[in-house]
Amino acid sequence: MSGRAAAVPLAVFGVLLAAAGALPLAAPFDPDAMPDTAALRVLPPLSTAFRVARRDRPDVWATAVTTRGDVLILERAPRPLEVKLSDLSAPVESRTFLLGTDQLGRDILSRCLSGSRLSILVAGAAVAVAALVGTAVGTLAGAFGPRLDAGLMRVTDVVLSFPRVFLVLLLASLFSRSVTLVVLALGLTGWMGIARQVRAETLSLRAREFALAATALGARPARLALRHLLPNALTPVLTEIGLRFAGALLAESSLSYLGIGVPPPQATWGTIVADGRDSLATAWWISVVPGLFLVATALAVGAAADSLRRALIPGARR
Amino acid sequence: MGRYLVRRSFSSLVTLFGVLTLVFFLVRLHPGDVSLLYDDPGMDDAAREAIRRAYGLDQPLASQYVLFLASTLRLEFGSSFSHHRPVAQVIAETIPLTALLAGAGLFVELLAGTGLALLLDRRRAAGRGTIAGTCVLALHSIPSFWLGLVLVAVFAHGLGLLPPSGAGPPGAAAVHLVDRLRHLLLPAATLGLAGAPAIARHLAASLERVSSADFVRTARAKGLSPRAVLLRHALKPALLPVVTIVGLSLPLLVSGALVVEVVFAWPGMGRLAINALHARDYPLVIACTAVAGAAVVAGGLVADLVHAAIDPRVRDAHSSDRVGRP
Amino acid sequence: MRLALLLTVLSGLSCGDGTRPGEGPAPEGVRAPVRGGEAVIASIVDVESFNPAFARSTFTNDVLRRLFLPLLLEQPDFADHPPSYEPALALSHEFSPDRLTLEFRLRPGAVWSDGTPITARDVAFTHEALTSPEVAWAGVRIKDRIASVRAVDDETVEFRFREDAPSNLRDAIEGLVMPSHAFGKVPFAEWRTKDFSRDLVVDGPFSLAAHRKNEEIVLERNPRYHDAPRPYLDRVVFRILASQSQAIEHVLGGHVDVVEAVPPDAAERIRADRRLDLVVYPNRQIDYVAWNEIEPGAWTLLRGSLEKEGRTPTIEDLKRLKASSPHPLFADARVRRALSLAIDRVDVVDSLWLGFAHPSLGPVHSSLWPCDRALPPFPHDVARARALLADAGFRDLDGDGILDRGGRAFSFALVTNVENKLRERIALKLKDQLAKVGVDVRFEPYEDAYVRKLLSDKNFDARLGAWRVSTKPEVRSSYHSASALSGQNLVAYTNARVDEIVEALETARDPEASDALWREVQSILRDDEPYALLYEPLRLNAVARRFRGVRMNALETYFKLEEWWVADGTSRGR
Repeated sequence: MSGRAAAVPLAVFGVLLAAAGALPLAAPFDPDAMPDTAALRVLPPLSTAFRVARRDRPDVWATAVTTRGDVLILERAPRPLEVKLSDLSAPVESRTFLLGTDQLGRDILSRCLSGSRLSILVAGAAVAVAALVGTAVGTLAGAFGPRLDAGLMRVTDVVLSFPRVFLVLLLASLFSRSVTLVVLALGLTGWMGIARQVRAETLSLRAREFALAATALGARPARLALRHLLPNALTPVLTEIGLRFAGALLAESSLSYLGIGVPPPQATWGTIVADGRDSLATAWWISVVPGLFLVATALAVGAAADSLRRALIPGARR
Repeated sequence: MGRYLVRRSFSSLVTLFGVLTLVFFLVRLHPGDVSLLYDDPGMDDAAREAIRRAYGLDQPLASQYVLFLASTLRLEFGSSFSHHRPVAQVIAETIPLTALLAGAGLFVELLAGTGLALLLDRRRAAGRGTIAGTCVLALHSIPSFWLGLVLVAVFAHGLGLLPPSGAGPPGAAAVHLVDRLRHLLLPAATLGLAGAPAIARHLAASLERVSSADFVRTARAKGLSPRAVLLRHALKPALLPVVTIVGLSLPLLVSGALVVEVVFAWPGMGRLAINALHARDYPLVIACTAVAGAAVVAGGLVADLVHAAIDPRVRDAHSSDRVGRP
Repeated sequence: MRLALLLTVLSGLSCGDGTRPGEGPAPEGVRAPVRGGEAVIASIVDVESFNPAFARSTFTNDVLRRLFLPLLLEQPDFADHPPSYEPALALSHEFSPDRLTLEFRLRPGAVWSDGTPITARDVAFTHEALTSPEVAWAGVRIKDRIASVRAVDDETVEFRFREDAPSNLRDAIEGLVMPSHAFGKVPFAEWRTKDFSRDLVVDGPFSLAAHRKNEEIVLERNPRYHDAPRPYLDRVVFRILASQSQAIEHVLGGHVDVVEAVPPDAAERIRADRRLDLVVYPNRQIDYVAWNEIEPGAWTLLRGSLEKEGRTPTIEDLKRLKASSPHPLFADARVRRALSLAIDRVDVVDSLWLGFAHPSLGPVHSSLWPCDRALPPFPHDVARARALLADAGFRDLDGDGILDRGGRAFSFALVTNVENKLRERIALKLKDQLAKVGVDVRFEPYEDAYVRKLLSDKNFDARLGAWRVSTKPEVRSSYHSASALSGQNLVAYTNARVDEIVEALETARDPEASDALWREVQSILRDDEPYALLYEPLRLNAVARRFRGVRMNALETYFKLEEWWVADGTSRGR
C-alpha cells in the first residue's frame, strides 16, 4: 500500500465526515426561518434585501429602502410600506442571499448547508448497511464451499435483476416513511457489488498458500474465514464503499425527489430539489442549486475513492 | 447454440421465479393485514370474493404463494383501486411508451458512451488520461433527475425550443410523430447521458485490452493509421462485451426510466407506479414491480443470447450462465 | 388592459358572476355570435362514468352537465338571496297550495339525440334510479322528503313530498335527467360495472363523440339540442394532462385554451401572455384547521367496544366520550381561540396566495346570501394569544421555547394531504407562526386515502384542509352533533343550541326568522371556533382571449358553455 498516495483520498473522507458535522454551522441564516415570506419569496441568487426592525415587528424586510424626510419607504411585495424613523428599534441592516430564496423566503444556501448533514449521514448509513450485508454474503459464499456459493450467488442475481427504484417503491408503499426505511431500503438493495467483490477476494485468497497451510493445520472453514480471509478481503471493500457512497448519495436524492425518501419537514438536498419542482420556469435556482452540491460532493468522493483504489491495488485498471 | 439457449433460458426462468418470490415475501412483510392491501373500498362483495379466491387470502402461506405465482404468470394482477380497471390493462397501456423511452435512452446511452470511450482512449494514448477520466466521473456524479430538470430549465423554459413535459398529443398521424419525437428528445437525452459514463468506462477498458492484442499490433506494423486501426480492427471486438454490458445495465435503465418519467411527466409504467404508490393502489404497485423485474430478466436473457450468437466462445464454455460477466 | 383586469378582480370580489376581462367590443364586423371553432380544455383527471348516477368528482359533473339537462337550471345569483332558476328541460313549475305537490311542465318537442321524445317518463325513471339501492347514488339523502314521482302525461311530472320544507324545489330538481329508453335497458344491478360511454344518448348542447381513456374526451355539437343555434362551438375537447404544471405549460404554449385552478404563483405568467385572460372569482371554498376535541384513538376504541355489544355510537355516547377522553390540548375553547389569534391569516394570503384569497369571516362563505358580512375578520393578536394560553395553564417551564403544562409540551401533529405543494407551504408557515407563541407543530403529510381514514377514525390532532361549500348554504355537515357520527364534523363539536338552529333552519319558512337564526349561529360558531377558519381562496382560470361569451362563475366553471363562441378566423397557437 502506497502510504502517501493513500493519504490524500483518506483525507478527503475525513473532510467529508467533518463537513457533515460542520457545514450546517456555517449557514448564514436559520435554514427553517421565514422572517418575512411575502417580501423575501423567490429572490434570485445574489439578491440583497434590507431588514428594517420595527418596534412592534422586528422582521420587516424590503428589497429597496429610500428615505423621505423622517420616513423610510420600503419597497416590498405585496405593496410598499412606510415606516417612521422614530419607530425603528435597530439600524437598517442589509443582507445578501447568495444563492437566492425559496417560495417561503428561506435562504437556499443555508438550507443546502444544513441539508448536507442528513444527506451525508443517510448515504453513509446506507453504505454501512450495504457493506455489512455484502461482506457477510460474500464471505459466506467464498469460504464455505460451492453449494452455498451457488445458492447465494443466485440470490444476488435475483436482487441484482431488480430495478432498484421499483424495489424501494414497493418497500415505501408497504411501510410508513422514515429515515430508517430509506437507509434500510438503500442498503438492502446496494450490497450486491460488495458481495461479489468480497467473494472474489475470498475465493482467490482461499487458494493461496497461507490458507492452504492453515487448512492443512486443521483449521475449520469458519475460523479460516474470520481470522484469515476476511481481513485480507477488506482492502478492496473499502474502496468499493467509497465508490458506493457517491452512488448512495445520488440514490437518496432521487428517492427524495420522487417523494419516497425522508419524510418532511426534514431536508436533504433531494427534498430541496423537489421543493423547486413546480417553480422551475420562474425560480429555477431552488432546484438547480442543491443539485450542484450533490454533484460536487459525489464527484469529490468518487474521485477520492478512485485514487484510493489506484493507490491500494498496484496495476489496477482505471 | 441450441444447448446454450436451453441452459440460459432455464437459468433466466429460475431468476424470474426468484424475482416473483422476492416480491411475494416483501409484500408479506407489510405490518398490517395483507388482505387489506387488495381490498378496494369501492369494490362490491362479488369482486371482493373473486380477489379472495384468486389470491387465496384466507389460506396458508404456501398455497398463497402458488396462487400468486399462477395468477402473475397468467397476467392476472387484480383490479386497480385508482383506475377501476384490471391492472393488466392499465399497465399494458403504458408499456409501449416506457419501451419507447427506454429504447431511445439506450440508443443515446450507447452513442454517448461510445463517443466518450473513444475520447478516453485517445486521451489515454496521448498520456492525458486522468483529466478525461475525471470528466467522465463528473458525468457519473450527476443525478439523472437533476440533469433532467436542468435540461428542461435551459431548453424548454429558457430557450423555448422543446416542450418541458409530456409525450405529445395522442394519435398516429405524421405530424404527431414529429411532435412525439420533440417530446422524446429531452427525456431520452437525460436517460442516455445518465447511463453513458458506465458504458464509456467499460468500453474504454475493453478498448485498452484489445489495443494491446497481437492482431492490433500486426495491423499497426503493417502501416495502417492509428485511426484506421482503431475503427476497422479494434472497435468491433471491443464492442462484444458491450452487449453484455447492456444486459447488465438494464436494471439501471429501467430504474432510470422511472425517474425520467416522473421528471418529464412521461406517461409510462414508471410514472404509473409512482402515482399508484401515492394513491395507495397496492395491486398496481405490486404488479408494476413484478413486471419491471421480469422485464429486466427477459432483457438480460436476450442480451446474453445475442452475445452468444456473435461470439462462439461464449457458448462453448462449460461454466454456467455467468460467462463474460466481470 | 390592466384596468380591465383590476375591474375584473374587483367585480369578482363582490362575488357572483365573474365576467372576463378583455370582453371588449368584438372585432370589426362581428357583432353576434357565430357558429364554428373548437375549445380545448385541460384537465388532470378523467371522467369516472358517463352515467350521472356515478358522478362524484367536480370534473365528471362538469362534463356530464354539457351532455344532460336538469329540470331547471340554477343561476349564479346567490350573493344576496337564494338562487333563482331558469327553465331547462322543464318550462314551468307550480306548487300545490299545501306545497306538498310540485308539478313540472316539460318543454314540448324536446328530443334525445337519437330522436326519441323526452317525456315525463324519463324524469320518473331518473328518480327511480337515483333512489334505488342497487345504484346506491351517493346523494340519495337529498331525495329523502320526496314520496313519489309520477308521469301524469307525456309533458307533466308530479312530485309528492312527505313534508313541506324550503329546499323541496331544489331537492326535486337535483340531478340530471336520464334517458329511460336507453339506460332503462340495463338492469340497475349492472349499472355500476357497465360502460355507458358507448352510443350515449343525450339531450344537452353537446354529445359524446369520443372518449379515449386518460387521453381526451371529445364533445360535438348535438344537432337535436332544443336551443338552436346554440351551442356555437363545433367541438369541445377535454384533454387529460399529467399535472397542473403541465397544463400551465400547455396553455402558455397555445396547445390548450382553458386551464382551471391556476396556482397563485403562475398568475403572473398567464397575465403576461397577451393571448390569455386570467378569470378570477371566489371559489366557494373555505380553508380551515380542524382541532380534534377527542383524544386520538378514543373514538375507535369506543366504536370497537360498542360493536361487541352489537350497536353503533349515538350522540349521547359521543358526549360522554368527550367528557371522559377530551383532547389534552384542544378541548378547551380558550386554547382554540388562542391558536386562532396566533395565526396571521393576512400574512398567509399575502405571501402564499399572493393576494388571491380573502381572510375568512365565518362559517358561511362570504359569497352566499346568509353570510353576516358585518362580521369583522378574525383578529391576529399574538399578545392576547399568549395571555389566553397562560390562562389555560401553559407556561414555558424548561426554557426550550415550547409551552408546557403538567409535564407535557404543547406539541401536536398537523395532518395534511401530500401532493398539494401549496398546502404544504401553508402548513410550514402556520408552524412558523405558532412557534412564536410557544406551540410546536409537527407537520405530517399523508396520502388522501390515509387522511380520510384518520379523519373518519378521529385519530388525529389537527388537520389543515378545505371545504367546497354548496350553493345551498348549510352548517349541518360540519357543526351538527349527528354529523360527528357520519358527516363532516371531524372534531366532534357538540353544541345543543347550534343543533337546534340547524334543524330549525331546515324547516323555517319565514325569511326574517331565518335571518335571525343565521346570524345567531354564525355568532355562536365564531365564539366557539371549533375550526380555525382561515381564508376563502379565489379561483383563477386561464382562458384564451379569442373566446367570447365566457361566463365562468363560482356556481359552475363551464356555466353555459353553449354560449361560448369564437370570432371568425381566430385560431389557437403561436
